Amino acid sequence: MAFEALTGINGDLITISWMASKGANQTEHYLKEEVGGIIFFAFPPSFSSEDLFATANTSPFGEIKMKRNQFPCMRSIGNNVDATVNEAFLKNLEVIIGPRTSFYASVQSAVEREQQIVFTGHSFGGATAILATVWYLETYFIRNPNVPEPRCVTFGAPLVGDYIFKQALGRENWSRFFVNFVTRFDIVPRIMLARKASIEKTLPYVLGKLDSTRAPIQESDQIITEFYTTVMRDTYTVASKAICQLIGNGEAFLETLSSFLELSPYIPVGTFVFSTQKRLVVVNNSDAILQMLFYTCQSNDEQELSLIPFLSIRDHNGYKELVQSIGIKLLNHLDLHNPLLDGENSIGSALDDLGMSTRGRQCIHAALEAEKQRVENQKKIETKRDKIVERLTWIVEKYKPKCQTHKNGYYDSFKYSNEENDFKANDTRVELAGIFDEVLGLVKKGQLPDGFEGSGGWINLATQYRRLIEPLDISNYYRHLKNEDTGPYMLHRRPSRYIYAQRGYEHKILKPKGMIAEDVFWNKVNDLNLGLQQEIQENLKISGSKCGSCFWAEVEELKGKPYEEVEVRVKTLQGMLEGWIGDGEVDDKEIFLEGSTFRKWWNTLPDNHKLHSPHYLRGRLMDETRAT
Amino acid sequence: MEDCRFETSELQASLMMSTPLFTDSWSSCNAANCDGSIKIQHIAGITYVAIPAVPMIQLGDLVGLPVAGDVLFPGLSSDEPLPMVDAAILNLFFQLKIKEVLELELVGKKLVVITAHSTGGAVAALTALWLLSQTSLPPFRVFCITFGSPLLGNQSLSTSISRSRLAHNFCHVVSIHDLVPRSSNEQFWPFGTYLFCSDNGGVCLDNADSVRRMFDILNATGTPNIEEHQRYGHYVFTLSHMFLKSRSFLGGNIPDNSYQAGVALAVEALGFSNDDTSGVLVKKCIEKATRIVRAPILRSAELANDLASVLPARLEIQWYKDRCDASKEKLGYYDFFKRYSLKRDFKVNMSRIRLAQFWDKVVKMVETNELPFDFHLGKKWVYTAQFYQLLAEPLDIANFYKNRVIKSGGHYLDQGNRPKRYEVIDQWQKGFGMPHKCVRSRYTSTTQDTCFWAKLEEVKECLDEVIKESSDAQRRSLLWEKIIRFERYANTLVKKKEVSKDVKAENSSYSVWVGNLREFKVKMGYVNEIEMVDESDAMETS
Repeated sequence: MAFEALTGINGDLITISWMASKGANQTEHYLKEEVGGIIFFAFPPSFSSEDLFATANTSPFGEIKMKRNQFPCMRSIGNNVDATVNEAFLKNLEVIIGPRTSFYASVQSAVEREQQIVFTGHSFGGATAILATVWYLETYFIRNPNVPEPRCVTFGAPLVGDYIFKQALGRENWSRFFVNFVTRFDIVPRIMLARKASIEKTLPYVLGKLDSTRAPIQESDQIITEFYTTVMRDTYTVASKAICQLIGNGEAFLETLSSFLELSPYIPVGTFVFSTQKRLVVVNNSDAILQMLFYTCQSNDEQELSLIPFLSIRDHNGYKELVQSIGIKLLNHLDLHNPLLDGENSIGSALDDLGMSTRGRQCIHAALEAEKQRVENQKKIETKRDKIVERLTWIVEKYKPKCQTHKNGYYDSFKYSNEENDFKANDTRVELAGIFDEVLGLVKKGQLPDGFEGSGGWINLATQYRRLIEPLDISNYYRHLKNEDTGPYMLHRRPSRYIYAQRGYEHKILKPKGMIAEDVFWNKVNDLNLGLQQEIQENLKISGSKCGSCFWAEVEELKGKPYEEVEVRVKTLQGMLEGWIGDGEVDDKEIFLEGSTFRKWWNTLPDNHKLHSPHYLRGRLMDETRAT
Repeated sequence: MEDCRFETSELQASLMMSTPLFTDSWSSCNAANCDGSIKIQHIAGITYVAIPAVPMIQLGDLVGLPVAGDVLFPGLSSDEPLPMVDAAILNLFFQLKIKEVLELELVGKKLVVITAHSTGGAVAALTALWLLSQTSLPPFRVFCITFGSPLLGNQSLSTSISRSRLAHNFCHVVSIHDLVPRSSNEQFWPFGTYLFCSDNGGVCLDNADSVRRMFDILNATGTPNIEEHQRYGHYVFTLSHMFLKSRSFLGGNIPDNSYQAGVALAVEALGFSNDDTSGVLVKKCIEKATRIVRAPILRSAELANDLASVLPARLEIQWYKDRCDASKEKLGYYDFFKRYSLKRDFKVNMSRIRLAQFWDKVVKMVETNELPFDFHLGKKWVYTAQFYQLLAEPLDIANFYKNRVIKSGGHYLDQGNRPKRYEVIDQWQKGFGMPHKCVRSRYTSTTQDTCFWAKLEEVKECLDEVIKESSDAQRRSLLWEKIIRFERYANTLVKKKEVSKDVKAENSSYSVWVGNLREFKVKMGYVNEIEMVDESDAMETS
């Protein structure tokens, strides 16, 4: 069936998910069902304010940063920012995976038996399902290739995470696991777009009305109308700010205006399925979904205006009907490739069904165009790949060997010599910097598809670039004594293009272990047993030992300083070096050469230090000295 | 234009109108107008300062605004001609003792909205301008929102506000039927973003020419209505609820092209029909205002590529400098280039020109707001610009003195002779807070005072004049003072190793000058007091 092709789940799976979700209402924490070898975990909704906005949380939308060691993938790698999620939802997850429930053990056993898992929930239970899925992905899926792909099916769930959350799921190619059903007017998927301060007072009342187990609501309930208006106002502000930013020209006015607004950080993730009387509309693009959350809820006239607040509550309990109708309703897919704005084809009439105004269609069009632009940007970058490879090859095959004949390697040759080749190498360095800075500019501003940061090809190329060319940047920096103008290279002057490349590489390497680079580095340092941890951290605050391609920057900084002052740093550098050589971060054919700055400096270190240095280092540095 | 696919002027307006800022500002204005005094309110973390409207004042006389150097608006860039404001408004600004009130009230605040209706709006704008044009930016963000405000000042005020990159802090809400905001005096000029509104919606325009064009259209077509000026309460209420209802297009078929469709919607938002003549004029006005070929974000990413393409020129100069430093003639690159006798001097001149063109372009793009708003705050660009300046400005100075007609031409550092790009780059660095310098172990690779050679050229002439004894004693003593001051300054630079080795090259202009000076001192029997002073200086600092 077409629906399965679009969403990765079939009608049966949805039906079972829905039944499990309903069944979960009777449970305290979760319900487990096994059907046809698939395990379903369904979570119950809660209709109390504290379960939407964590009590002690003072942020305007009840949000909190995710912990990096627990969720190592849920962050923006290059920009180095952790994802933000709703704290109350996260706390709820923590209770469920904690020792008070048997959930953890249940998941564990499903993993051991390599069974597929579906996480599901209705209403606020859907939020738990989303976070549980993320937790499962981080805890099991990334570490073990045999763990089957999970699915997450929600019905009328609130939004859970921010832009970075969405970006991270996109980068890891996980968005496809999430399918969210939304009936046209359901207020719950919109609630998190409102400011806590603006809805706080009426929230408990409205939550009571949303709970299907309580008394049905009246059509003309003033509090409901007020609540709906407030949520929609904030939703509109968020949606139109987002679209202005997406298609605008970076107007400064927008920036000033935004700084005076409290805007919800939450954003839709995964696939959304909107339903109307006749149709299901499937959308994958987060920006477009955000626009739809607003524009499908606008009214055409006064009569609708008075009715929609009531519908916004009623629709929250309309998922049974939706699930039953899946096989019957027309299906539309809203994406880049389907033409949109001419009203004759089915997408046009689907949008008619959703009550989308001219302006609304435009916004959706704009959101899809923005994604198209990101794809275009990536294509444009891809065309430069050959050039990059060609330049790097010249360095490897021509420049480096040529320099090695001078017995001091390309780092020193670049620093001290002024020959035609060095000039050309400098040209190469500068040209590549231009290309990578352009890429970086696009990454920073989110102008590339989410998947770009995770693409293995680019990570490899950027790593190769960083390892080969960063030494030249360092060489250039110290050649022109820029350290005396602006301090050590590592302090402020390490170009972001290398920092981003390093982070991408580390993420790729460490992801299967579920670890983060920071911890790995400090663990290695601790293994060196250099003394008090706090002192060492202070000593290594600005240190080139954190990345192999900064090896030379550290050497340059240590070179001029008395040994006693930098003993910790010297030892750390030595401690890291062997690993770097093994990983290919540092080229051992270069650094041990007779005339290398490193070698010369190392030989000035106190004899006692040299004698107690790691074996491999003594072997390579002392033997050769004797030989010459 | 293919690259401009969407139109945001109406979206921006409806965004603004949906926010609490819009309604809360208006209610503050109301409160201030009722009381007839300044009202300060705190709502949801924002401080609203509302200034009362003062009826019955005579507007229309311009007076010069005290800018640059003055205590009131020191931060406002002051190009000729002088920025001017309405005399009555400036007067009100003093009368209401706004400075005194706000200096106390705004301590520790983060977000400040200055708002007012009618004449108060112009005072509010002046107040916001005062807050924003201090030598350092205030520790809080400022947003000025006016309703039906008359124009504040002349064209040069408008230009200098946008040159100082302050225009985005102003939003003027104006009813299309209200006459007060459009002055009949041609000298008055708009600045900031204008939110034109009608019963159907609103449109934002942020470019002064477009706003003026819109004024013209409204003057020509509208039915002026004196009541209109009092109807902002109505507009605020209606427009702030507009978002609940969907906007369908009234004028028949919506254009296929998204950009055209957006413009058409904007035209209707102002209550015009896309079919009649005035509607067409409005359409053209909006098109002109919003058509920007490439988004600044993409443009700046592209600029990185352009930079890479001119960098070989910088490397060429670097190489040139290194080779000059190593030359047998013991001249630095400054003197080599000034002499301009070798083929490579010609080549390096081409590089100098290419770089100058590139940076002139960048500076101009920043000034005309073609680049992202915070472009000049980016680390990469500030450093790159600085590195460029350090290397290239000496060549520009050399070029200047090489071509100068001694009698008629002034000096490089005289007003207007130094290329503007260097002054802008200096500004960027000031705003950026460059890290403190540390002690140097050897001469820097480029002299840290990029105008060092220009200063030398000046004192060179001074010394020549003193030696020739052609001028009178009083002038000679002035010149001598200048010489001694420079000598001392240069000595400190050299001692701190803040100069590059080309300055100290054996036959460099500087070395020659120092030699001449010493010779002259010996001849005149002066004791070499300067060097003694310097030694004690050095002892104190070491």
